[in-house]
Amino acid sequence: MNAYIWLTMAILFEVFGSSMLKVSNGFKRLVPSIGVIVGFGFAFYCLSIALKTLPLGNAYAIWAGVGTALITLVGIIFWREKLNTKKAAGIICIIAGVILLRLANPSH
Amino acid sequence: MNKGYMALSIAIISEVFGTTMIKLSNGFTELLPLFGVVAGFGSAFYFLSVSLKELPLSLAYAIWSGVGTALTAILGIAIWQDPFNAITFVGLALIVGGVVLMNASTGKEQETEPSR
Repeated sequence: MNAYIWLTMAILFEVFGSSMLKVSNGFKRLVPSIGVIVGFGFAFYCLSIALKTLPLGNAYAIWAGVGTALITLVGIIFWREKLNTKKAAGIICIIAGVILLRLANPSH
Repeated sequence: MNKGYMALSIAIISEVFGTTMIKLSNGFTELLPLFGVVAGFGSAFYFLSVSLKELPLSLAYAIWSGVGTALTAILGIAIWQDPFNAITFVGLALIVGGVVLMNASTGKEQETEPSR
């Protein structure tokens, strides 16, 4: 299978795991807690397969950048979190910074 | 400091610790650092989840990934002599600026919205 499909799956599982992190209410609810472990477990598994063919720096940069952007959307859509100009600009700056740092030095 | 931010800080420090231990574990072959990886990430996810009880997901996750990446980069430069160049500098500056912007944007919201 194409490495980008594995990377996409890794990102989607990460987004699922992070969303369950919020639902788990500090790991006090069982089913969402299992969702966190399963989500991140599959995320790292898919990422490791994607990394067999993709360059480490690019894959990490895409995974962290797209993952954070999607999780922001999940917060806004499902938890009705407010997004104003400052916050949007802040998130974009952070994502850009993370992508640059991970491209510059893949070991992060 | 509010409880959500306190938990978020512990989550970030735990993550940076876990990431550093990955490096020391030498491809997961050294036992002691391997325990450090598991403990670090276990603690990171637990405290991130606790912080999410009070903080919005969009804010907490962006700060977690941003500050975690920035601190790991700084440690890499300080301890492992990773290269520090223009790209690294711009990346760090963007993250710091982004976190400041996000905190400025939520200051008022938190006064009006008591913790759940």
